[in-house]
Amino acid sequence: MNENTRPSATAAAAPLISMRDVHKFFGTLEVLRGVSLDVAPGEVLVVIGPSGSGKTTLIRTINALERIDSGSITVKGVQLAIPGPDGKPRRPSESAMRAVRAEVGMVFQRFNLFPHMTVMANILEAPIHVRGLDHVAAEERAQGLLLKVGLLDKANAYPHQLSGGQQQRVAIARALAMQPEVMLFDEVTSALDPELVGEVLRTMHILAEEGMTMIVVTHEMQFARQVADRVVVMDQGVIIEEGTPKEIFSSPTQPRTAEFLRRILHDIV
Amino acid sequence: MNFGRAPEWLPDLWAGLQVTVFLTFASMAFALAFGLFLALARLDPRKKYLSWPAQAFVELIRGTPLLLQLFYIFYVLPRFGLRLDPIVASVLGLGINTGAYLSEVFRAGIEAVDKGQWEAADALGMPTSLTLRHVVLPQAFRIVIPPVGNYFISLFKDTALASTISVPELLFSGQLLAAQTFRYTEIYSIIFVIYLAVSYPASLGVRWIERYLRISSR
Repeated sequence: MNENTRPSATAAAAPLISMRDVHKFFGTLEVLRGVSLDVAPGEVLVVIGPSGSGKTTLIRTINALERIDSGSITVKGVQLAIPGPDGKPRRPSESAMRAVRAEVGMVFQRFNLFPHMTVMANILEAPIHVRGLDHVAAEERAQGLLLKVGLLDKANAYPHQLSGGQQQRVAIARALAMQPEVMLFDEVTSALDPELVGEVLRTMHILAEEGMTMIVVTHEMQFARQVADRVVVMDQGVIIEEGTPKEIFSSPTQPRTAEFLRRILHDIV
Repeated sequence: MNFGRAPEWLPDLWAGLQVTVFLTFASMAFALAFGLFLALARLDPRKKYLSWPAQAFVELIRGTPLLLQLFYIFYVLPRFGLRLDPIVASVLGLGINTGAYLSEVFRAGIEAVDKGQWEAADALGMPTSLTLRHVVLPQAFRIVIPPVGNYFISLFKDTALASTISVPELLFSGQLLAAQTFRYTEIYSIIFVIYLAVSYPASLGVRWIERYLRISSR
């Protein structure tokens, strides 16, 4: 599937996520050095780049798991970081963070399922206790999601009884249960055994086909090529290049992109 | 040594043991609640108005003898208008003291829960109190069961200090009997055995729970 057959995002649509000149320090290390990025509704954005390039930090700022040091981030009209009197962004208000997080689902490299809860309880937790959905409706939704990720028979299993790939699919279902506008995927296949990567990528592919807005940090170049509407290449805290998968993979304009692709495609990263 | 009259002493010692067990459970209940409160108050170092007094209180309690704390509650507080029954004073003193130590255990347990759990909950929009109640504390609880069990056994033995403020617990009952009969050797030996007969199986139980938890957590 590619961007021609998919109800593709058009550049004209108002961006769902808008980042402007975002800077982020860890101590004295500047991990994001002025990143600006717009993501349109329905767009599938894949972020690639060498490790340490700031990809993960970038997507973690979108749901305020990381605070930024300057710049602005707006998610669905809610400002996550508003400059204070000193020009630096203030800590986002609890309500702004809550509002944004309700719209932004996230899947982590290490799944982070709640180990003391069954699969079903993991999925029900936030819809019931954060959204206030009643139990019957939430369970119905959860069953639909488990069907979608192919794990309906595992509803009563505990996370440790599942394979990594299954756990990650549960994590996807858990995030989807909040009916987010955007899904963030942070190297979600990196902790998986190679033979389990495919099932997770397939689930993400289905989501993309359904028109979910997705920001995907990954080293899976095949996925980027097949599913992305747009590929963003990061290096040393800045976006060095962006374009369609075709542009990036066939004719990168930046030497650093070419170098990165050469290394990762030949598995010598 | 002559244990021939031991049966005469047993009813008093039995009554004393009951008081000791009551003190242990009542103080522990208080200590668990108070310790959790202190641990939660110190959880967010940005909230200085909570964490600072809680930290100071823990240092105060851990830096002074339990016996002194009991005396303070029983003999000094009445000067400020708070006159407490010896049993109430003991439960309060033992509970506060154990609670201060448990708060450290709880804090360590909470911090031992994978940070990814907080992040997952944050990403789902869960507020802090919900994350604590549903995600973090249930996992921390498992982690702290063995150390809490050991504090429980320590507390059982520490209740003997309540004898100094005339609570009729096991040691105090023995002291009365010994003073009446002059059979110090026999009576204190029996009390030795009684404490051990309770605390040793209890510590075996804690060890068993520890092993069980280690196996069942993958």
